[in-house]
Amino acid sequence: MRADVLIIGAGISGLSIAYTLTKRGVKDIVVVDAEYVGSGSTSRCATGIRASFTSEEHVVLMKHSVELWRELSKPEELGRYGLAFDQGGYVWTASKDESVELFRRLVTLQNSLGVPTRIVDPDKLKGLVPTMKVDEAKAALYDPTAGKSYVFDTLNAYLMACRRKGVKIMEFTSVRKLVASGGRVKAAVTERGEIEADTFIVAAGGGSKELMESIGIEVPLKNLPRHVMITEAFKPVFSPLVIDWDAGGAPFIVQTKEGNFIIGREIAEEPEKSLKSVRIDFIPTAIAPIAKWFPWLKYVRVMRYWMGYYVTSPDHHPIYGPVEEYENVYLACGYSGHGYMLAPVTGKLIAEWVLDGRPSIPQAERLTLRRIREGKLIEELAIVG
Amino acid sequence: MPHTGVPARDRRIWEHPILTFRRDKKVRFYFEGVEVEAYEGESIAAALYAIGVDVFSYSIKLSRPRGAFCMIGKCSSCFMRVDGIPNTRTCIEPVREGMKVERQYGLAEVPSFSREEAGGEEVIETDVLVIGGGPAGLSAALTTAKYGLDTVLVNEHFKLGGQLLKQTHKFFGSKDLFGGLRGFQIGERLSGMVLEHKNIRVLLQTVAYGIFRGGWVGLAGKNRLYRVRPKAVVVASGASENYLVFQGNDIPGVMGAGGAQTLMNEYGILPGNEVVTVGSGNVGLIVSYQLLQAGASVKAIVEILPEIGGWFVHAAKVRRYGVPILTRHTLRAVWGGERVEGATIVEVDRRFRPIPGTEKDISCDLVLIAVGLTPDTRLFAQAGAVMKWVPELGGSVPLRTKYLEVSVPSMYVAGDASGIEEATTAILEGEVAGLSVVSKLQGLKADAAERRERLLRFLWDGYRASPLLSRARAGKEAVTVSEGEMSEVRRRYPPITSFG
Repeated sequence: MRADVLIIGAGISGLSIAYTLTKRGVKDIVVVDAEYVGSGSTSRCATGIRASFTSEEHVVLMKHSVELWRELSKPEELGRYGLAFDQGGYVWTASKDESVELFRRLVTLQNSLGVPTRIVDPDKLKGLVPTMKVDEAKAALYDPTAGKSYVFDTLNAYLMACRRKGVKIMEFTSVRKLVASGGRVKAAVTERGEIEADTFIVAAGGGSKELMESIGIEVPLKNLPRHVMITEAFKPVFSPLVIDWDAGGAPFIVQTKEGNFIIGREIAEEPEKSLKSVRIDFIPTAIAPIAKWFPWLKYVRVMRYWMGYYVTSPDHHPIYGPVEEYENVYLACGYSGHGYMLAPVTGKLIAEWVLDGRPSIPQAERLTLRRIREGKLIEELAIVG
Repeated sequence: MPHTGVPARDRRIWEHPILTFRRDKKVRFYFEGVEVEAYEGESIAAALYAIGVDVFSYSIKLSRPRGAFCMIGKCSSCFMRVDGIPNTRTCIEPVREGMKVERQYGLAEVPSFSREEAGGEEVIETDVLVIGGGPAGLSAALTTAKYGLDTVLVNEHFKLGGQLLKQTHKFFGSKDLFGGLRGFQIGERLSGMVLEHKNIRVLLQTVAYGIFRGGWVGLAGKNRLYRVRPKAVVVASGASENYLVFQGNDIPGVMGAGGAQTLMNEYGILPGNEVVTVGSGNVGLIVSYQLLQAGASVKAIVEILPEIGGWFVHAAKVRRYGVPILTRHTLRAVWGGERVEGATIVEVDRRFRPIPGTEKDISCDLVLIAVGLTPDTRLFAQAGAVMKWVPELGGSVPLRTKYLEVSVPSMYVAGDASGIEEATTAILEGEVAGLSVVSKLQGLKADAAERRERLLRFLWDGYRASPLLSRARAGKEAVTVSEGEMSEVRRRYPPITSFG
C-alpha cells in the first residue's frame, strides 16, 4: 500500500493535520491508528482551550489556535458536523497576595501578545461564576477568549470532514516500526503490511517515542498519568473553566455542554503507570479544594473517573516539525497536556512545514526537536491538572 | 386530606390469597408541596405509585414522562429531588416523616442544602468485603463470618435480601436448600442471621463505586465515604432487567417484570389492571400468574420465538386462567400519554420480521418487559478482570475458576453477577465463594474443603444436571477455567490490582 502522506495517530492532532492538508489540496492521505479514532489522550482530555499561558511560544500559538477554533466552528467549516466552541472563558483564582502579583505580570505579558486577560475582584468573580463562594479569593485572572468544546463532537466533526475529503482512516492498525534509507523514511511496517509514502507525520502521542527510535531518533517523551472525573449532569450553572492557582496541583472544574462537571487535579504520579490503575485518593483530593468554592458539590455524584497521559516533553512544549536526519518525516507530539487545544494550529503548522517548507508562525520554529538536542528549553508556569 | 395536583387513588392490595402486607406505621411526607401518606418500610417510589402517581420525572432532552421501571435502583426512571438532593433513586430510598419529594423537569438544578452535612471518611481494614446483600452475598457473608472472618457487607438498598424479597413462590428442593419456603421468607431468614452476626458489619444504602490501585475498594454511603482494604472481596452485585426497543417504550406503565414484582409482592401495590406481558420465560409467566392472583387481568403474553421459553408448569398455570400465550408475536408499539393506554402486537415470520397486516391493538394500562436479565459485572471489568461474553448467561461475565475466583487475585463472583441463574444457585455459589475465601485466608480446612466439594458436586452434577437448566449450565461451563488456565490468563493479562 502507498500514500502521498501517511499520518500515524488518529487523535485530534492527526485528524487536524489530515483535514488541513486536504484543504490545501493534498489528495492521497492515509491516517493509521493502533486503536480507534481519539482512543489515546484526545478522548481522555478535559477539553479546555486557552491562550493564557506564560511562554511567548505557547501564548502566540494558542492565540492562533483559539482563532482557528472559532473559525472551525462556523457552519461552513466543521460546525456543520457538530463542532461547537464555547468561548466561556477561564478563571484562575488566587488566594495569596504573591499570586495576585504574578497574575499582574502575566496579564502584562499576555496583553502585550494580544491576549486580553485581566484581573477581576471577588465581586466580579461571583458574577462570572454563579454559586461560587469567593470569600477566600483575593482576585482572579480572567481570560475571556478561552473556552471549551465537547471532545466527541470535535473528533466526530474532524472525522466526518476527513472522510468526505477522501482521507483513508485505518483503525486498529498498529505501526511496528519505520523503515528508512538514504536520509528518507520509506515505509511504515504495520501488522497489516507495509505502507509506503512520500511524507510521514508522526502524531502518535506517547507511541511517537518508540516509532522514532526505530529510525534512530531519540524523542524524549514521558507518559505522565493524569486523573480526571465527571459528575452527573445539571442545568447550566457557569460557563468558565475555573482553576485554583494556589491550592497546589491546579484543581479545576468545568461544566460540559451536556451539563456534567469535569473535575481534575494533578497528583504525584509515576510515569508510564497503567491507565487502568485508578487511585482511591484521587476523587477526594481533587474535590476537596473545589468543594470549598462550590459547597453543593458534596451532594453531587461522580459518574466516571479515568486516567490519561500527559505526553510530556522536557520543557512542556510540543515537539513539532522536521528532524535533521530525514527529509520527509515530521513530528507532532509532546504537547504535555495541551494537544487538544493546540490541534487546529498543529494542523496548520504541520501542513505548512510539509507544503511550504516552513511554518508561517515564527515562534513555531523554536519548537522543533533541535531545541531539546541543544538544551534550549522553554519555560512555562501555567500547567493545569 | 388535601390532594391538590396529586392523584388520590389507592393501588395498595388489601386482600391477597396468599400474602399479607405489614402496614404498621403511617409516615407523612410532602410530594410537590402536598402532604401525602405512606407506610413505614416503603420506598418513596412505591409509596407514590400506591397513591396513583405515574410520572416521577420528565426526561432531559424531550421532556417525556418517566415512570416506574426497575424499582431496584438499576435504572434512572425514578430520579427525583429528595430534600434538595436531585437524581435520588427513589425506589431504594425509604420514606421518612416530613421529607420533601419533588419531580424533576429535564436536567436538575444543582443540589440545595436541606440535608445534614456530609459525614467524612472512614478507613476500614477487614478480612472480607461482600458487595451485594442478595441471596449470594448474604450466603457468602454468613459463610465467612461463621469461620471467624471479619466481614463487611455492603448493600445499595435500604433492605437486605435482594430479589428474594419479591419472590413469593415456594422453593423446590431439600430443607437444606430452603425447600418449601417462599423466597421472601428465605430472604428474611438470611437477612436476620446476617444482621445478628457479630462478625458481620452491614452498610446499607451504600454503593461500592470502584476498585482501586493497591487493593482499595471505595464505598459511598448516604452521608459518608469509606475506603476499604479487604483481604478478599466477593462481588455479588446481581443483575438488571433488559429493555426492548419499540415505539412508546418509555411511557409510564411500561415496566420491567421484576419492577412489577417488587411493587406487587414486596410492597403489596397493584402495578396495573390490564396487562400485556412481553416474554414467556419463567419470569414473564410467573409474574403474569402473580398479577392474576392479585386481581389484575392479563390480556396476553407475547413471545417472539416459536416456543414458550419458560417451564411447562408455569405456562399451565396462566393458561388455566385463560391467558393466551401468543408465540411468534412481538410488541410493535405502546401508546398513551402519561400512562399506557394500549399496545399493538404483531406476528413475526421465521426471521422475526413483523408480518404486515397482522397487527392487533390491545387496550391495557401495564406492559411488562420480561426479556431477560444482564449480569451487573461492571466492578469486575473496572478492576481489570478478564471478561467473556456468554449469551447463555446474559452478557459479559468474569472468567473464574470452579472455586469462583476471577483473574483479579482474591476477588470472587457469586450469584447473578456470575451469570444469570436463580436464587437457589445464588445461595450455593455464595457459600462456595465464602468457603474459597476461608480456604485462601485460613488455609485449606478439612471441613470447609469437604463442604465446598460437596456443594460443587451438587451444583454441577445434581442441580444443574436438570435438562431445564442445560442452557445456564453450558454457559457456566464456558466461563469456568482450571487453576492452570487461570494462571496463564493472569500472566497474559496482568491484573491492575489485587487483594490480600
